[in-house]
Amino acid sequence: MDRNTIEQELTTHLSAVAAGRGKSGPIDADRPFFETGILDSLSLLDFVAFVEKRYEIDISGRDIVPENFGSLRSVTDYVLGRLQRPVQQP
Amino acid sequence: MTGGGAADTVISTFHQLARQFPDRPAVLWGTTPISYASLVETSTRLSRALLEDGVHAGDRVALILDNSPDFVISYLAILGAGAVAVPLNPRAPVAAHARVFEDCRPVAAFFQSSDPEAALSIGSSAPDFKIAYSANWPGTTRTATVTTWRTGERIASVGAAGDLDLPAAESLALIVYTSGTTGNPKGVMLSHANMRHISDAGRELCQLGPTDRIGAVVPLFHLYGLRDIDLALSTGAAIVIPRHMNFPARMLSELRDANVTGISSVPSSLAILIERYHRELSECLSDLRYLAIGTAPMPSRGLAALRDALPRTRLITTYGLTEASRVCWHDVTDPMTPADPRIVGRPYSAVRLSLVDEVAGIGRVAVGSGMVMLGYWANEAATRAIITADAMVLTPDCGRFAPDGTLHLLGRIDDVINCGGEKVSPVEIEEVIARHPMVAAVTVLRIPDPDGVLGEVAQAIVVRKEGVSLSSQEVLQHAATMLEPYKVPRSVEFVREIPLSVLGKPRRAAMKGS
Repeated sequence: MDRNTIEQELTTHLSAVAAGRGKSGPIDADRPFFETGILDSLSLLDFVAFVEKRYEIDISGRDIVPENFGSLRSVTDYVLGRLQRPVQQP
Repeated sequence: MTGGGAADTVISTFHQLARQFPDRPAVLWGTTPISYASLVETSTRLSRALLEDGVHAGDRVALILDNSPDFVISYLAILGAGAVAVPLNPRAPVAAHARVFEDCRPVAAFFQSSDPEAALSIGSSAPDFKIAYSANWPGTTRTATVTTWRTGERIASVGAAGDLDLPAAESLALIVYTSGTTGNPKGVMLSHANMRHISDAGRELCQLGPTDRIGAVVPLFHLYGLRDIDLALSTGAAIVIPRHMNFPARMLSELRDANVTGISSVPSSLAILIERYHRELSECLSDLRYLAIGTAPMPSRGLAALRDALPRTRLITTYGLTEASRVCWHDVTDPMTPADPRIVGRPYSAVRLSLVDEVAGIGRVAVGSGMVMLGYWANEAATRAIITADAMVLTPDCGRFAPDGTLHLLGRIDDVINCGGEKVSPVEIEEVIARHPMVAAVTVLRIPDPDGVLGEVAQAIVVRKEGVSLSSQEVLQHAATMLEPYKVPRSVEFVREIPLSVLGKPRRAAMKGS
């Protein structure tokens, strides 16, 4: 799966989440989710669950950090990394 | 530590402690300390700025900030100036803020938003609004009616902090908005004396001393979070504000690195920690002295998991309501006995309880203490409906006393939904959804959270107008533009007519045009 496909899928999902929170318009790949209000601490976990299911990966609490889940770009990078180089879950 | 003096308030005690112990940490932003001396200097300068900018004693000043040192500084500055702080959720939509601004008419506000236009649009709901501050704006601007300041620049421009004329104990300190049974949120008025009593009760419960470090893991714009600022700063202790509230693994390591000794949290946040971050929880908080859990009942399974993760920590469940703050507490001592979440424990020493309209030992719980609010802002009728002649607050809960003196709750007398500790009025949601042009009728019900995190959530039952198409997504989007995210129903179900069986009471349907 390539980068564009992943980013596209995540964008579609997040746009629907954002719409449900009264936010519309394009999703800026680099702006933090929490700054724009697309996600909060609770919906972040729903989003993590979506990513786990869609890409068939397990995500440990340790991985749910701003570097991996802070913005559209960081999640895309994270998913791409996990798919290319599966990490052993402890 | 509630030293003497004429004005025995949290803010006066804080100023006194800052003179006595200037170098102690008052706030830790992550692990970065801000000393008592520095906090009192900065907040006093900002008080001075508010006064220079035309804020008078008793004026309302909205505090719409995320958890940060800025929140603490602005809060202290408002109180120090003798003004009244009105904390609000920065994530709430403009329409929700506008309703509050119309109600309590702030003259000034501190905004999280980096967008001055949005701030001015909210401000325009209050006729006397004239000053807006934000740490995140590019600079200072002036329109015909409103001046917007960059907070840091404004603080720097004040000549000298000097001494403040601190407010008297009986004056109004805070207005906290809360959803009741009616559609519009009501402003709970708390005096400086109320806030001192709330701190005193918390200090007694948690046996707090100057070496404690309290972790702020819930939003400070809630009274439940805000009162931990008071608690720390009137004790000589520190309040630890994690920088990464939204990323629990990071937050937990920040709390560990700051040597946090106590935390007040809520069942929904703890459920997430237990579910996803069990290992980080026990690794980072193994030395935690106390964990207080409030705003909603914690399921016994969750308590057992916490006991397992934090075997050395004192677990306390607390019961209260915004109108009376702290009411009861319960030590979770025995992990093997499944705790009944309805047992809310015994009252704080300063609290007296009674059961109103008692029949066979069961009645509506009434609470009296120095923590009981002055009343609802500009709502005499609502105040009279809840405060009795002997100054007790009628809670929405029915209960009974067990032989050991502990209070057991049996249910609510209203329809309010406790969504992860946030009290949500079905009427408020119904009124918003009923405004959608395609909606003929709507009723909002309380259902158990399908994900098991929030306890209860709202579900909207909607009747479409004849011959129109309307999706649940459209209903939810409409609701999200006017309501805080937690008030937006979890799901929408469409029906041809609202069955009388779900109505229960006449109020249960917001019928349009009737």
